Amino acid sequence: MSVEVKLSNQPLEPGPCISFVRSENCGAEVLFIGTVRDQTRGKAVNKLFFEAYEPMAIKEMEKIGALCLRKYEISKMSFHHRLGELQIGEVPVILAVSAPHRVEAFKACAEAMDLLKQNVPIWKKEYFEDGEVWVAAHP
Amino acid sequence: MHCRVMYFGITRDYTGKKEELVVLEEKSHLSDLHQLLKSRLPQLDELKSYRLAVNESFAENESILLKDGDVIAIIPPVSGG
Repeated sequence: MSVEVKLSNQPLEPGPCISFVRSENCGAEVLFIGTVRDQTRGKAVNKLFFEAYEPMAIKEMEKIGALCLRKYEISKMSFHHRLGELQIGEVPVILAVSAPHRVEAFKACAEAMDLLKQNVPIWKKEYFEDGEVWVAAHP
Repeated sequence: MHCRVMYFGITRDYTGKKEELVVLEEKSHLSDLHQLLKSRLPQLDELKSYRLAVNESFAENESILLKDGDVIAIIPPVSGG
């Protein structure tokens, strides 16, 4: 398998993602790590909560990997997303991509993250001092 | 026939439940279930957007026939990453 996808309630680590994508025919590995910021649009965030429609989220993440493998000259992709409650500075998402050359790996990494944010059924709730809100739900 | 409807994120807050069984007439289309859900959940109109999934795939159009046991999910705007 060239694409590895994981949803986890445990803290994510980049090491296993890098190990998965490392290939002797590749000269490039691009690693993206998403982290929880302490504010959104100027408002202090205390913590986040992520939930997923898990079987569908896994299928959609696998589809993103398959699409990127068809579209770009990449070798492997590892795509991990965290679920549950996350504190500031924790890691909701890690994406690693390997390719013979760096340009294709950068492009695939960027597109996969864009598609994650469009199509993968995962939802984020932001907690503030004065309440909580599901992100992007309302206009 | 019976279909299972699943709610996530803000739509689970609307319904107060993760899922429910909905009774539909035989040969109902996804559009029929969508109308039923809209009448039960007027708050759907307040969302920026939402999509429907049937058996863990986004529904491309609502004219598809549902069958007994299908699992439909309301997918409010996603916000992973």
